[in-house]
This record gives sequence, structure tokens and C-alpha cells, in this order.
Amino acid sequence: MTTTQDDDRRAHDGDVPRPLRIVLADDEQMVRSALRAILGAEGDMEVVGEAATGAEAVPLIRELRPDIVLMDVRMPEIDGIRATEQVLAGMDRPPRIIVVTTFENDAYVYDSLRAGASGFLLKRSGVEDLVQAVRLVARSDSLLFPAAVRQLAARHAAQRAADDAVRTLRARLSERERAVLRLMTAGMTNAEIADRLGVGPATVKTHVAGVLAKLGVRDRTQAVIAAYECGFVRPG
Amino acid sequence: MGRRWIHLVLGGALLMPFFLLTSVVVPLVVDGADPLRDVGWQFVAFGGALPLAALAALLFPLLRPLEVAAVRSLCGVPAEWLAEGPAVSWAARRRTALWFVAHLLAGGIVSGMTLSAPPAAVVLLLLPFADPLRHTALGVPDLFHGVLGPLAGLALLALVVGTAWGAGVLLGRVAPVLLGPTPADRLAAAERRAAELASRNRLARELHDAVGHALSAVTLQAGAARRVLDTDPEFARRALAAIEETTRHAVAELDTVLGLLREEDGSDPAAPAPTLDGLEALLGRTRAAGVPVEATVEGPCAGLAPVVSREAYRIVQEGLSNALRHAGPVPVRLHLGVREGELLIRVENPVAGAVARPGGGRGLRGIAERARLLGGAATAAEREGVWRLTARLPLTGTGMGTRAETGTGKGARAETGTGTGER
Repeated sequence: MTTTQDDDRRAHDGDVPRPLRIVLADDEQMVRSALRAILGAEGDMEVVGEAATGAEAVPLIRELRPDIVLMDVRMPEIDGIRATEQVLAGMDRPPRIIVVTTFENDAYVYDSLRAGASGFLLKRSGVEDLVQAVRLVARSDSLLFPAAVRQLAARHAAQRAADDAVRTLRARLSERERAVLRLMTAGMTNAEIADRLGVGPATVKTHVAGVLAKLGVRDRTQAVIAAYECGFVRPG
Repeated sequence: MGRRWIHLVLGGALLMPFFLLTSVVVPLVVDGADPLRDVGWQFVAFGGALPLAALAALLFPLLRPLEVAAVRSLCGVPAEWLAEGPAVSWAARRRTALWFVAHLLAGGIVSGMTLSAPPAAVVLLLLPFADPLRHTALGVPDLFHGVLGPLAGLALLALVVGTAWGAGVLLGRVAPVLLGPTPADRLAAAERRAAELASRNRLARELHDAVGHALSAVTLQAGAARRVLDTDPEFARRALAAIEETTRHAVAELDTVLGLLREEDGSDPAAPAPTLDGLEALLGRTRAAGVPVEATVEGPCAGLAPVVSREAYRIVQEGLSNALRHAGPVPVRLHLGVREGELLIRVENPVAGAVARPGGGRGLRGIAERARLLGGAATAAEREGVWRLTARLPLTGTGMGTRAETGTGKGARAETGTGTGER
């Protein structure tokens, strides 16, 4: 969790990163073909597989071991949420999953973030935003659409906040880690957090890793959701 | 008064079969009874007929709609105070039976008086003047041979009129209570309404979903086509075809579903429909939307029948929005004229190129429907670069029983996101 996937990819062949390997899962052929064209036109990305249902997607992802999966929420047989769960549960080094959706207010979006997706993307996003979002998630040291994720988390988490959960979380995290988590929920990148706290980026990285490990989550998105859900950060 | 009298006479007529039945049965049961000749026994037969009528009302649920129809058209009781449909529940049947008895009782009495009193009154009125009448064995006491005769005749007529009036008023009061919807009726109506709303809701939600997905796919395809236009023109071509196909389907679905939603909208009297009185405001709004409108009004457009005025307003509204939709903010000329028993509406605007759509879209069809409902006609065509919509409405508004659709319909709204573009 401490090494980003950028580091992994560089590790293979020196300084030239191999392209990001991407799998698309969407029941609409039109959406898949458009995403393939858009991402394929980028030099550093490569669409290595496509699936039309969640049931197709899970074994395909296990076999191809991509870096990123663009996963539609609503699919026949197994939907994007359950497919996300299954992929994350069954792999030792699972890909980052970006949920792709038509409607932002879809309750499923939040469910898929809870299930472990790293972020979500609206299908109506522009080409440039879309490509940028994929790179951002691959780099993984910042939140994708922090405001939107915060909004979602705040809206859904408000009712679930429980005092003992906050106490447990406070007890488990060090003071520094709590400060880092708070800045993470504000959508800051590691560099920004380092700047704010007046420490080196490497130190921040260590703290972030500590937070993720202690919360038992995979990445920042999950950490932010967990922070909201247990009431560590209050909405508003 | 006249209609209520007819309603009472109708009650008397409805009583007849029951009355005749008891008139036949009574002599079989009671020796020497003769309801057809003896007035006393006649009342006995009358009394016996009423429970039979009540029984009939209990057994036949269809009696309620019949009685409701009679009350609505003859007693001037508003339709919304009366229940619709057959009396299904026993509570409704009991109340219908009570009503039926009241109607037949009052009707029987008033009908009997209506038949017997006028001849008697005529005789009494004429007694002082017609000598032969005094010598005929009519059983009129000598007392009435003088001036008392005509007075008694007038009193008798007054009694009949008074009774009919009183009975009519009484029935009119009782009708909403006994023929009005029972709590069960109201509940059933509410449930129907709820089911209707739920299905409308579902339709609207499905439409929203379908159009949202289609637009999203189109956005992606368009973005992809733009991205690879130079490197992969073949993909761009396919993307354009896919966009065309998808949007066409989406619009067709919009058209169908919005049509369904509007049809069901017909009976919703949510807000009073605007009339030509609101024309200036409409023109103001249209001008504010960037359409220069030049309007001429000829003749007394202010005093039109409400139904004509209402539909005319809608036609003008549709015509103006059509012009904006298809030709953009070009100058529009609107003419309204009242002449020779009809209202002429004309909307003209220049169009660029041949844009005439055969059959027309929803707007034009709506206009034609409105005009037809009123017994008029509407046409729209492009000639020499000018799109001209003409509608003629007869001022009398013939054959208009129903309100035309009130909703203007809302298209699917594409949401603009807050989630995009944030880093």
C-alpha cells in the first residue's frame, strides 16, 4: 500500500513506464467502444479487455490483472458493486476500480465506493477530465473529485455516525495520523499535506500508510468514507 | 323548479310497477280491499310499494348510477357531490335504497297531485260561471258554488306547486348525503388515484433513466469521435452514426412517454387555464425570450366564450414556442381576428431553408387537436420562406364537453454535474 502503482510500473523497465493496463466493464457496447477510443488515443494507456456483465468482468480481471478497471454500476447478472467486491476479495494485488455512472445521485455509487472502488466517474465527463481521472486514480495520492466524494460520504454517513466507533478510531490513530486523515478528507494530496504540516513528503506517505492500515482500508477514498461514517469528521 | 318537477314525476313513474304489484297483491290478502277504486286502500298499496322499491335498490347496484344521472341533470346537484359507478358496498346500497324510497315517496305524492289536482282546480274555478257543472254529480259541496269555489281552486293549485317545490328542495338537499360517495367510495377513488400516480411516476423515472443513459452514451461517443477524428476517421464516422441512432430512439421514447403522461393528465384541474386575457403577459414573456413579436388584434377578442379564449391562448402559446423552437429568435407576426362568427389565429415567421416536417411534431398536432375539439381547423405550412400557422375557431365552441389537456409537459432534464472538473 505504501508504494503507488506508478512505482510498480517503473520498477519493471527503468524510467520508461509501461502503459496503464485498463479493463472496461459496461453492458452498453457504445460506452465501451467510446471509452476504448478515448483511452486508446492516450500514449500511456492501453485497454486490454472488455466485459459486458459483472459476471464476465470478475474472471477477466483476475486473468488480465490490469492496473485500472472502469466499472459500470448497473449491469445485468452481477452489478458493478458486487463485481467490485468480488474482484477486491479474490486478488492479492487487485487493480484500482473506478466506478462509471450516468447519475451522480445514484445510491449505488456510494455503495460501490463502500465496496472498495477508488472513485467514480460520470459518463458525461469530458474526454480530458476522463483521461485525467484515470491518471489520478492510478497515481493514487489524491482523491478523485474530492468535493463529490465528501458530499456523498457526508450525505450517507450522517445517520450512521456512532460515538464508540469514533473513540476506537481516535484511540488507534496517533495524533499526527489524525491530522493527516483530516487533511485527506479535505481532498489534499500528499504534497499539499506535507506542505501544510511542514514535514517531508516521505513522512506524509508513511502517515497515510499508517492511517490506511489502521483503518483497514485500501486507499484514500475508503479512508475518507470511513472517517465520515464513524463520525470522525462531521459533515458541513 | 320545472326540472325538479320532472324529477318528481319520474319518481312517480318509477313507483308505478311496485304500486301496481301491491295493488294486485293486496286484494288477494285482504278480502274486499280494492286499491284501484278505494282511496284508502290506494294509500295502503302505496305504502306497500315503498319497501319493495327499497328491496330493489338493495339488490341492484346499477340503480345508483341511474338515480345519480337523474339527480345531476334534473336537480342541478354538482357531479362532484355524487358518487360514481354502481353501489357496490352494502353501506352504499342501503343509502341508495333510502334515497330511492324518498324519491318514490315524494314523486308518488307529487305525481298523484299533479294528475288529480289541476282538473279539480279547473272545476272549482269554473263553478260560479258554468251552470251545468253545478248540476253534474261531481260530489262538490254546495259551499263552493259561490266565490269560495275559485278561491279553493287557486288554493289547490298553490298547494300542488308548494308541495312540488318543497319536495324538490328536500330531495336536492338529501341527494348529496344519500347518493354521495361513501367513505369506502372515497377510499377506492384515492387508491385508484394513488395507483395512477405511481404508474406515472414509474413512467417518468424510466424515461429519465433511459434518456439519461442515452445522452451519456452520446456524450462519450461524441467526445471519442472528437479525440480520434484525425487518427481514426472511420471510428468517428461510426460514432456519428451511433449518435444519430441513439438520439433518434431517445427522442421517440420521449415523444411516446410524454404523450402517455399527458393523456393521463387530462382530468387534473390543478390550475385555472389561462385565457386570451393573459395574451399581453404571454407576448411579454416571449419577447423576453428574445423573439420579437408583432401582434395585431382585430375585433372583440376580450369577450369570447371562456372555452374558445382558453384554447386560443394555448394555440398562440404553442405557435410562438414552435416558432422559437424551430426557427430560433426570428421576428414573429401574430394576428388575432374575430369575424363572421369565428376567431382567426395566424402566426407567421421566416424560416431558413426547407424545414417543414410532414405531420408536424407534438406542438402542431396539439394545435390541430385543440382546433378540432372546438369544431374548427388548423393548418401549418411553409411558403416562400415563411412558416404560417393558421387556426380557425367557431366562436360558439360547438360540442365542447371536456377540458383539453392542461399540462405543457416537461422534457427530460439533463442534470449538470458537480462531480466533474474538480481536482
